[in-house]
Amino acid sequence: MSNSYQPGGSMRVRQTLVLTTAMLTFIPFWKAAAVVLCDFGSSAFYAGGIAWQAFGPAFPWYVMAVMLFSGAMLAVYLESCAMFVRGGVYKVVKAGLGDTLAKVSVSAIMFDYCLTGPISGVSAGHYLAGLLNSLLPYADISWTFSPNKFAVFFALAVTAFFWRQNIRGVHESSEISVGIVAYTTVISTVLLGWAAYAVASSPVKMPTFELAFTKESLGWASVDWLKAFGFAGVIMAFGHSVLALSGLETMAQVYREMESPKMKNLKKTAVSVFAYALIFTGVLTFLCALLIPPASIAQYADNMLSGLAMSLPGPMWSRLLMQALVVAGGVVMLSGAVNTAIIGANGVLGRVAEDGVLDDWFRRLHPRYGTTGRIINLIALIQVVIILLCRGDVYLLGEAYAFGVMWSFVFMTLSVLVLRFKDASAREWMVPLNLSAGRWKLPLGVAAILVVLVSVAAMNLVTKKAATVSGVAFTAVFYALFQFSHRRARGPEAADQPHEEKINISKVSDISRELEKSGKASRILVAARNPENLYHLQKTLETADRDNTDIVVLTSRVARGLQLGPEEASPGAEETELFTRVILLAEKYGRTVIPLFVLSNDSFYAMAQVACAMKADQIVMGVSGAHGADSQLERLVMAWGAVRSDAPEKPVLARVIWQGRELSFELT
Amino acid sequence: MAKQPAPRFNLASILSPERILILESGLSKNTVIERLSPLVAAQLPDISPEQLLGKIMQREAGISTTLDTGLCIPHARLEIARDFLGALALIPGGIAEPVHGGVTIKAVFLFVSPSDGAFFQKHLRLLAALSSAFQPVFIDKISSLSSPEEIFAAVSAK
Repeated sequence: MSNSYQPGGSMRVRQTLVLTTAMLTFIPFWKAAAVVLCDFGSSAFYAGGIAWQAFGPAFPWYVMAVMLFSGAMLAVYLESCAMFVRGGVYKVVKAGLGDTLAKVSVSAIMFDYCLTGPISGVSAGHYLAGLLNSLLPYADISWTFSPNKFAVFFALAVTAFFWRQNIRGVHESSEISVGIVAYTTVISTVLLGWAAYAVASSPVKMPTFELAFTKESLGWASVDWLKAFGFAGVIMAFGHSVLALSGLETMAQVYREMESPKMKNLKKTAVSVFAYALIFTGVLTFLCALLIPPASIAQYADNMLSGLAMSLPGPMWSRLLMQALVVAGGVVMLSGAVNTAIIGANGVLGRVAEDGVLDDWFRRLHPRYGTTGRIINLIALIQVVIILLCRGDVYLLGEAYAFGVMWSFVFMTLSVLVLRFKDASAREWMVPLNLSAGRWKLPLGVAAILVVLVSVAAMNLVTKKAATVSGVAFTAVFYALFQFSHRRARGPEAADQPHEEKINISKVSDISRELEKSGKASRILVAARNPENLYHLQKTLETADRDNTDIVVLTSRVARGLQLGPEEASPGAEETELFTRVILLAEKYGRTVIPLFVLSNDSFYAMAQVACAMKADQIVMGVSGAHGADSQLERLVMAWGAVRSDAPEKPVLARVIWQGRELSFELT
Repeated sequence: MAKQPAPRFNLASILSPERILILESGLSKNTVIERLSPLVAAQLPDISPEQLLGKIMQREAGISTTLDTGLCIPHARLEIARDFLGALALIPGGIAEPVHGGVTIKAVFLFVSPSDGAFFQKHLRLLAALSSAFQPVFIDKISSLSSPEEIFAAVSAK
């Protein structure tokens, strides 16, 4: 399509702009599962060791129990995502419990994310240092790496790498996550097979249920009266293992980017994540307890899966090789968790910023990559500071870790429970165990999950000093930041206003060439003008062939006569509002759309010209309340005839779609 | 089997030399429409020129019927119409389009069509045929002709 401007008598499009936002590509369930697993699954590398240090040899039972409980939490997340496409703890808690607790819960989850990166990076460093220190003597090198210093250095390098990747865009990052999970799956399968053979071929002793808390792991609970309640110990031990649950919030964050059918794909993601975590984290941790000799387990507290590899039957060279493969798997998966932590935290802060709670300054998109670069910078900076402060101590990070995840889960689950009563409308999916009582459905399943969470979170407050002190301090600081930023930026009323998508614009000279990049055979042009009238877009998103169709959404600003000067056009408030609705719809249906903005003095000319230029198969319009479908088709037909010298040879179906009706005409 | 494309609309079938005017510049678009309406109304049994003009102006108040090629297509869909019927005015000097500033109208093709839904696709085909046929080169060509008969012949050949 020509962008040349003919002053005076032309009604033609003068300028075509493609609007871009941070996330307009949608990923299949297995990619989403990989992103979640990079965080959630990575805890297999350190959860067992931290639990062992806290309460001794009973640790595999509790890690397994936590993995089983993850199924319940995945169910809560499924229900929350069924209510909110752009969900996660902030949106759900805001809807269920209000603004203040939403800010508290998002501050808590930020604490979780800000620790996920450092604990994963530092843990990966320990695995690598352990391997190098095992190998160096075979090369007659007596020098050894200081595990803690090496871990700090390694964590900083990984954080810097993934900071750069996220600045460049999430799509590239999810590709990396898939590679990481694929590699780790192969390694863990070999490890599982070998360890299972070892268990089957020689007698092993089942781990004890007896809890052996250290003074440090009892925290403020080392008082006699609490010891009288035997069950309290079980809750304490569960609380020390619950850090293995970290990463589920990422599922809510990637739901926005999941392709359609979204809920079906989310269920597949949840099942994949649950099965993988149960086997990878639960079973492998159990095998560690069975096969690592009690005398050696302390040596491998920070790299327990290395200990499992070195405890397998077979010659030394084969065990060293297995350790090397495990370390390679650990390094890539834990590094992936650093990536996921940045993605997740970016998503959470993005939701907060959309709501006006975080200053708009943070939401400015990166001029080249269209990502929320400033938020990503902030997250990476906090993680770097934590890495430097912890000085490579995994246990310290692990102790602090569970605060954020537990309290965000408490608020999330309580909100889902409250929303059952506040909003009784049908959900696409609900947590099971709902007892019908008259017109109410009593959510016994959600309530039971909440009881477990509250018990553990409350116990952790007492037993985990480091978590309580650092978690409360961090949450308070972030909460204060949100409050200050909210009031300074827009005032308290801003949170109730609908959010506006931040957009980048890029000028295109040949829309057809742009679309050829997607390689899809079919193209539909959807004209949109009124944000309240997007039924036709919704229908198109529902029915168009996903694999073979590009959907271009055209918004044209109509300027008459002299107003249509040669100046540069850019989307204004109306177009931004419309574009925001279009993006939300695209996210809801998990379909990529290409938004175009054109300046024209006749919107039907714009449609005809763009349809010609992009070699469209269909032009879809919504009905106009002012003119009616008949007149709209008439005008489009006229404009098509006027510009058809540019038209492709194939017929184009022009459709006006509105509630339950359609009027169409084949343009030739 | 591939779907057969709809037949192209024969413009000459709804026009006659008696319903072709060559007008001078300086008129308004509405005046041109007022001049053309009686020519069509005279061929319809149960509608006065004023009533037809009212129907056409009602449609004109909606989405524009002017194209930047220099063609304007005022029209109305009537219950009493049994078939399509048109009239053409050429204004070689051009007149200004009142809404789209800068657009010059050199040809006005007024027509009526049956309002029955069964004719709507054909109605759209006529609009498509007119808008694609009356490109600036063709309008300039027929504007240079001196008689309605010659213009009719040129339109028939299109």
